Amino acid sequence: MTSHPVDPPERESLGADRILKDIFLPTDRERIMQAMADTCAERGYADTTIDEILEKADVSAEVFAQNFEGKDDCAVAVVNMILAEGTAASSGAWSSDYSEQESVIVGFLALLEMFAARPSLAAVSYVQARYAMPPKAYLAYASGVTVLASMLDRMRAYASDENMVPALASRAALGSAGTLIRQAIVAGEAENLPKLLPDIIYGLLVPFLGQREALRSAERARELLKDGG
Amino acid sequence: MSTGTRSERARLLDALLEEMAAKGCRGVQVKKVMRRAGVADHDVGDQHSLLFAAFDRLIERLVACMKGRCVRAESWEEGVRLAIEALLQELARNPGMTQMAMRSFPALRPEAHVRYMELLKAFAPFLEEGRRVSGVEGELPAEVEMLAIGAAEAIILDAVLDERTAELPSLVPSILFSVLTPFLGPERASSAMRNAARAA
Repeated sequence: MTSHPVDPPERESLGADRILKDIFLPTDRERIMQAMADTCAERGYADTTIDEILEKADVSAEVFAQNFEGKDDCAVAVVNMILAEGTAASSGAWSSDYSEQESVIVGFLALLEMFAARPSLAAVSYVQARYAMPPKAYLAYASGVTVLASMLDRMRAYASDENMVPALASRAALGSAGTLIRQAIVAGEAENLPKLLPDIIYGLLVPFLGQREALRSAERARELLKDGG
Repeated sequence: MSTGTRSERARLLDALLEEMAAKGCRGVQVKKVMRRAGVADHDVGDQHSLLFAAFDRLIERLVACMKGRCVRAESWEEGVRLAIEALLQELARNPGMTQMAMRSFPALRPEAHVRYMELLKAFAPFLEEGRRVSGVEGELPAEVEMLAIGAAEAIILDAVLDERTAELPSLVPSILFSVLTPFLGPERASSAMRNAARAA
């Protein structure tokens, strides 16, 4: 049987601009969400208007309406995006070679580095979603906190007596970390978030491991920062 | 801007706080509140400055309430417990004021959130003695007080957002554990928590 060479089907020419758009440039939806995050961080959610978002994202009202039902819907999408990116960052840092303590350290460092690189997402996550956004956005934020708390709860197995650690200890420990982070964001120092790692690790682990082990973990976090993370 | 004599200012700020608690920060009509408080109708100027001043007054009231309670304490740990009890009872007594202080006000604008962080820092002096009591003073984080305060704030805010403000006093033992643990470690904090539960 002879085979006949077949010309490849005619293809639309892939111009450089299309390649760049597909690979490097954010979509309209992503630009709108980033504009929402930036404006919320700057003015607060209540004072953020759709007009400002449209201008910042350089999209029309029609494009906004194609992507979101309104300001609240966009806010929820931003919070969900942050949850997804935070999960990707911390799970990307994880390795099965790490102990539970090391997993907490590298996971949190990855989160802090992500927020340091994108301060408006930090402001949305730690300030706006928690205090200022509508209920659905708050619930999305709260679901992220619940997941983190359940992961931290694994540290109960290392407590000298699991029964002495109250049920709310993980939630409280995350609150201690959140307050240091929020303090830096509000002071306009989000780029320094990774430097908080040792103190945050102490606060997260001391309810479960006790002071000596928590201080050792904080020192390990300090070394990790010196080594470049 | 001038708001008259000291007593006029105090009356105005108290009335503003009541209004903020009833209507949320964005619903406040300052001129109406001034008339109700019997304060002369001066040029209001920046309304937000007045709301911030009212919030500062709330911080002063809460700190005074906590200080008044913990003068009776025989130890640092007992002082922290009494201060937390005083705070939670005060917050539970006025759910509208608590919602305003912990949600409506911080959401007002970014500058309001700076003020909210000042509210949290105002509680730090109650905890500073804990460094000496800890036995590991030189090793504790520089911001150990804010770690402890943040732990308490998370539990309280969750309850407030869940509309369980009236139940706040029942959370004293859990909050006490989380506040004391960074200074004393979980074993000593757990002992204080059990004593608090028995005392309740």
